[in-house]
Amino acid sequence: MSPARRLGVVLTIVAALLGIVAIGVGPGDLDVSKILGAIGRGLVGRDDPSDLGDALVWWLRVPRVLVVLLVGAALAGGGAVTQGLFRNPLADPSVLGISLGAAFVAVLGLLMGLDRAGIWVTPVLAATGAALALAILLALASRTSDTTTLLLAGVALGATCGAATTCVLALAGDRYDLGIRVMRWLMGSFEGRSWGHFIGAAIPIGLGLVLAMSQARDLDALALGDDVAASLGASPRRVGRRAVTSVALLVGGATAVAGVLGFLGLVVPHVVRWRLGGAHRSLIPISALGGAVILLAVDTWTRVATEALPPGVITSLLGAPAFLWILLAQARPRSQ
Amino acid sequence: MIRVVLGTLLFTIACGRDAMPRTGTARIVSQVVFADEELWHLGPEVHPRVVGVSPMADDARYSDAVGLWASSLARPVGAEAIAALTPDLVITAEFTAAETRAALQQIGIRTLELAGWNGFDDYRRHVGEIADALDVEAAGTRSVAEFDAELARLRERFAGEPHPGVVSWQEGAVAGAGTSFADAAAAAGFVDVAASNGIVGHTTIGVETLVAWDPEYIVVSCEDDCTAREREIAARPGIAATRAAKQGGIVAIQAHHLYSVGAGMLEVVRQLGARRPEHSP
Repeated sequence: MSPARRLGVVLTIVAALLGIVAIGVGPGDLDVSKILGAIGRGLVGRDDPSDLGDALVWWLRVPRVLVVLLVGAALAGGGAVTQGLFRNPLADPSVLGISLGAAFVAVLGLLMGLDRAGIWVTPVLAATGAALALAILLALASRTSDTTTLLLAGVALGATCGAATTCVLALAGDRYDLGIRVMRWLMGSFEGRSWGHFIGAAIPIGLGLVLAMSQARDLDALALGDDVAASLGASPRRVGRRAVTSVALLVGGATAVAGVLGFLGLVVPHVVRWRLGGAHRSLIPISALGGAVILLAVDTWTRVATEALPPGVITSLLGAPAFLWILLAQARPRSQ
Repeated sequence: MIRVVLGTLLFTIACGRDAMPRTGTARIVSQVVFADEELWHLGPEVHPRVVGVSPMADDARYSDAVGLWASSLARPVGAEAIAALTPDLVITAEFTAAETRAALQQIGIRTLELAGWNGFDDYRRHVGEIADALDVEAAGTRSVAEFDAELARLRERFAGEPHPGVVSWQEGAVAGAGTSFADAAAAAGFVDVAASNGIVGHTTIGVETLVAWDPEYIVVSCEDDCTAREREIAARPGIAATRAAKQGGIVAIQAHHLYSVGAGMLEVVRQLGARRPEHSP
């Protein structure tokens, strides 16, 4: 068994075990039989949303675990594609400005009070923002095959959306309730996510992962340089367009359902590339699995140990020093 | 030279002042919604002395003083605009921008900083502090007495069994012991479930915890869409299984009442109490 396959199996087992733990722990007087009963009824469509046990397990915990797995996979998988596209192991999916585009439209909706119409409004608005950012990036990608230009355009787009978000917040500076709502959303959270969120996120993230995997060979070719890639049949412009689309679907879907989550898309693919090499055929799925496992561990811990801390804060808090440690660990062998 | 400059400055300031009562503090600026409301309650003796209210005084989302103060009255923002009104006293709070408070102190303007907003006792204390600073102790005593009389009337109206459990839940933020909501809930004959579960002050809980508590009533804030808000919250996954959602116990109260730390707290008591089983239609 290859190291990639072995790691994939280990991560799948860990994800399954963590999933069982995440569904099993939490508030409420629920023993194993009640939890299994709720899952069983849910699976055959005979759950009762008005039953407290079914509500806790089938309507809150199970979809939350699935949404966390999806988002973790999307961000880390999107990170692997971004780093391959820009041939830069320090690239993060947020450099394309997708998440900040999503955040800007979501914050605009919060300012206008649209979120009061229902819990589906903010994810839909965020997805709209991500789609608009994607449209702008695709328009740019169709004009250039230079990934550096695309990268800089993404950075500029992200900066513009970030500034526009700050502008909205500054104009509404006297509305402290809005500030709290925006801060909560920007910090990234899975609080109250249910089946509607899961279905809404599964479609773009599933499409994004399929598209990303279909680009694995072309991204490998791109790593050899534009000319070599073109000679191997991987047009840099076409690869760029498709890679940007897949990253937008992954990051846009993740941001829409969970808000802005930092560092997973940077750290996880970086570690996987370090341990397994740069072949995207294994890099993308292993990164996705790794991201899913890490995010589920973080979310389960924050949910059980401290309800006040959203997981987005923890990923950023742990991600930065972890990344520094990895960089130092990578530098050590070279100096010997 | 310095004396000439200071003399000119004082003369200019004196000329700029309107004719004001000479007793007590003549020119008052409020930077706190609570003070905007309470300065009005203190009565006509105080009204002409107020030369500025907070910019949020007319914001119906937060203030119970909407439309009370003349639109021509200043709504200063920042130390410069406040100083331009040459106030004798500026009422601030611990959450007023630290830079503004420091700048006012440096300029030499007297400030009254209100701190602690944890229920009925703090309300009474704040009214007393404002009345003392304005030399209108009798008006302050009258204002607190009116509040207490109405509170006693409401307590009597909502006394008796049962004492249903209630949670104030604002998208995860709950109010436990030592909050104005806990006082309002107790006055309306309810038990604050968050306080019963050991929560003190305001904190965040997950929706899972809310569902596991299974309160009979859940209070949320609304703006103009209170009925729609109650329906939306009751239909949410998880919350739909609570007794509150099943028995019509989702109570949406307008934000300016629910977040009030002034006399508006009585409106929370009134609206919450009206939803008790024996008072519901």
